[in-house]
Amino acid sequence: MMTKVELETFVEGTTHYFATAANQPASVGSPYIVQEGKPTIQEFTGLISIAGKRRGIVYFTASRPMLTVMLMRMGETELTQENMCDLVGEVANTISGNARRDFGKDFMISVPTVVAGEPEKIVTPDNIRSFVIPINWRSHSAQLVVCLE
Amino acid sequence: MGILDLGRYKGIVFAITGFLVFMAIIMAVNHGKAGQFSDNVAGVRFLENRAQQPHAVYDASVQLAQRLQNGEKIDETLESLRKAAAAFDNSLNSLANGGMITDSTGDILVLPSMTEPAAVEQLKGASKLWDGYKAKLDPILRFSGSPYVTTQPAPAPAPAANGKNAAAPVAAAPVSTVQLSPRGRRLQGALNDLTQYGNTAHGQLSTVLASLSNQVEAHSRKQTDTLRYIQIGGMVAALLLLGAIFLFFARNLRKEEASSNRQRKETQDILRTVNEGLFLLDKDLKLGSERSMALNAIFRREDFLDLTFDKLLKDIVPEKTLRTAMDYVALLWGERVNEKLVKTINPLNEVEVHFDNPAGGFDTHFLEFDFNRVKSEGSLSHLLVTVNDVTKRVMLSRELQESQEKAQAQLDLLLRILHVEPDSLTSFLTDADVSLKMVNSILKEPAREESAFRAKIDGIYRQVHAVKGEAAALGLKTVEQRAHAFEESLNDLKGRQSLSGSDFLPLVVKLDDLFNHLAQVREMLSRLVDLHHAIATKRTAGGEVGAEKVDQWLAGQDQTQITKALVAPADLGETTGAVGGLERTLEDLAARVASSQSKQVNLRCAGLDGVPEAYRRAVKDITIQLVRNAVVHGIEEPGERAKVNKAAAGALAVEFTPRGSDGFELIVQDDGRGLQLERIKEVAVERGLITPAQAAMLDPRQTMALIFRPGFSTADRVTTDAGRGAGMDLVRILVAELGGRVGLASAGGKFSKFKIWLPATQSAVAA
Repeated sequence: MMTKVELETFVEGTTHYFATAANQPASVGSPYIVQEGKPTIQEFTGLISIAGKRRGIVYFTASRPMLTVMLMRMGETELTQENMCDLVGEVANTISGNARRDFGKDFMISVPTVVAGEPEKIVTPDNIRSFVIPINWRSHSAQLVVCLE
Repeated sequence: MGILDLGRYKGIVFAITGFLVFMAIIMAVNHGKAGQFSDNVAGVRFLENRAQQPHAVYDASVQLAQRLQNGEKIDETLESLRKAAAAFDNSLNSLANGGMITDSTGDILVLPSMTEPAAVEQLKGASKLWDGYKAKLDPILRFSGSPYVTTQPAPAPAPAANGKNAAAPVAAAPVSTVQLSPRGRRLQGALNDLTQYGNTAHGQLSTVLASLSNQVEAHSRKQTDTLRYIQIGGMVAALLLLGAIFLFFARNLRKEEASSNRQRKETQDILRTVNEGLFLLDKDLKLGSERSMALNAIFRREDFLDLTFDKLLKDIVPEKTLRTAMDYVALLWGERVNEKLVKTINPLNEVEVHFDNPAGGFDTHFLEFDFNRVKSEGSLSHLLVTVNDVTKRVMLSRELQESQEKAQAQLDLLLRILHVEPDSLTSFLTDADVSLKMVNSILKEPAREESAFRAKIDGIYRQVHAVKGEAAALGLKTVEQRAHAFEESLNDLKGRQSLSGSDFLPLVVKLDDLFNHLAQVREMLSRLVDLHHAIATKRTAGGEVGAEKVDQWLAGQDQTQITKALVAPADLGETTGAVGGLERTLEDLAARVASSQSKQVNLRCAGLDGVPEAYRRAVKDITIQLVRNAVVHGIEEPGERAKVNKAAAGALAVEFTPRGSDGFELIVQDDGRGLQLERIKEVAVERGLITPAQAAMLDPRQTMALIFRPGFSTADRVTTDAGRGAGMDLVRILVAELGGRVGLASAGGKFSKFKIWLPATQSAVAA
């Protein structure tokens, strides 16, 4: 069973990135469960796979407008798709780092992969519900999706 | 290895030693022969030199005769003759005596050729000739003194020893003046004999010596030829021996190479075919060059060159496992290690590894590592590592274990739900599912402000409370406990000063738990209904229940869907419908709560089978809350009831009555202590719902209305049956949602009566 601490670890990883890199903290929206079908996937998704004590994926998915504003806030002038991919990849990397720190040595965490569009590329484990945690930043809303056995 | 323990090199060492010995023999023979060669050269020189001696003897004798005739002094010439004769005699004797000669350095050499018959014969001839010569020489050599008459004038000074030079003065001397003494004349006569004899003999002697010299030379040539033959023979033999050695070893090498190739091929075949991953680890924990092909498939890599064990594992196991593995392998290198004992603590006996999947994520496998210590010459040289992919075995084992655990959990669950009417349970599960989905929907509504978060809490509370109430009514303790824990989390959130999405994380976790648990209950129910169905079918057919079917059910192989259960009730013959289930649910609830409160209660239900479908859920939730409230708060304990002359068991009635176009009327009435208005006011003040001043101003009706306020409860402590004051709030909300009204009448110490009006519905009217 997923524990509160595990969820908090992923959420903290995400919010930590916003607080430090995006120069403006994000707030956590009301979390919910997706039991059937795929959770939300926006235009850019940074994903890590987890194995060991728990198995599955965790991803951060955000829209182009949100990433555009984030890049601008970070002083980036080139608002390219590549930079947006890098951005969600960095968020995923921060989540991964947080998870490594908190979960200790029992977990295997993959290097982040980035998917731009193409939601079919994101494969969630079968018959596993996903926890969706909205990450609200300014007027935008991204999602942190935790889908672990 | 000892110095003589040559192993596989024995043959080549012996062969080379033999070859060297052979060469040494050849060289020794060669050396011996070569030595003789120089002796022969010395012999030839010796003989050539000695061949001149007869001439010298002859010349000396001639010269002596000449001087004598000339009347010259003969002493020196005589002495020369003596020496020449002695030298030749000595040489001839040596030659005749086994061929011994003296070389220029004074060393005595032996000429083997002088012992050959022809030489011996010649020497004999020469000796005979020389003996004749010596006989003639003897009187001359023995001569001493002067051969002349003593009155003769002194002879002229002696000419040089050279006979030729001496001839002139002899010829020049006046012959008429020489007067020999008698001894002189005898000497002259002897000299004449000697010169006559020597005239032929010295040539013959010289010829003999020259011939001997030729023989020695011929012998030397023969030896040279022999030496050449020996050398050629030796070289040929050496070459043949070398060739033989070469062929022998070439054949052996070929054989060994063939054997080695065969062994290598066999090893390669084994390594290519074997299913296990095999490799050697050296002291630096580096993988050996030979390894089985299966290793590529097991580790999903081709390159193992210069790979160390930790690098092999680093990317596929968690760090903790890697550290444990390295510690264990280090332990195996200890010299004083009990291998069998250490094997029992092998942490890599069943290790979970994760390979990067190119499509994303990991592929998880289970590997079994086995370590064997390889000893060479008494010391540990390598570790032989055997790796097996035991994923299937582990998965099967885990599935079996999970299956057993699940079966145990299901059995526990089964025992808990066995007493529950399947219809009631089905109804509960459907309703609970709706409630929980509703909770999820509430959670899903976007929220950024604290007010939005706070607004969610009450809505979620009502849904969870309803689930909890019904679970309690059905005696589903496990569900009730989970819902209760959910309520506690909600209560915790209510008390917080500020709220954010993070605070709701525990809720989704608990919601997930409830969803999962209900799914398990649903699965169990499905099997239970199926079993019931099977039994009923068998009964109808007049046969016995098929043990096989029961077994199948217990094993979970026949998982009829819950929808099937929903159509099954007609076959069960034990219930008449969902509302019949509600009646039983309420009876069970009343009995269970009464038991937990040490109370007795008689529940009477009427008209519940007439509840229209549109109100079924609401009526169920309302009656559950009111019946529980009545037992907890209304009905007194038997002792207390006896004091006021009431029957020990409290009377509780639930009536549902259609009122035509006016809708429906639901009455829940008990004969308990009634509402205690003062207590209600006190609690409301305590809980901050009203101020003491407001309490003082409330009339009885307003006081009774307080019990419908959220958070109101007169229970002293929170239990799963009462305590949070959510139940009456839920009743109020449910009634309000349906457009109905709630009426409440109570008389202290006598009764409490909840009267609920529900509007007519389209479907209800039609019914």
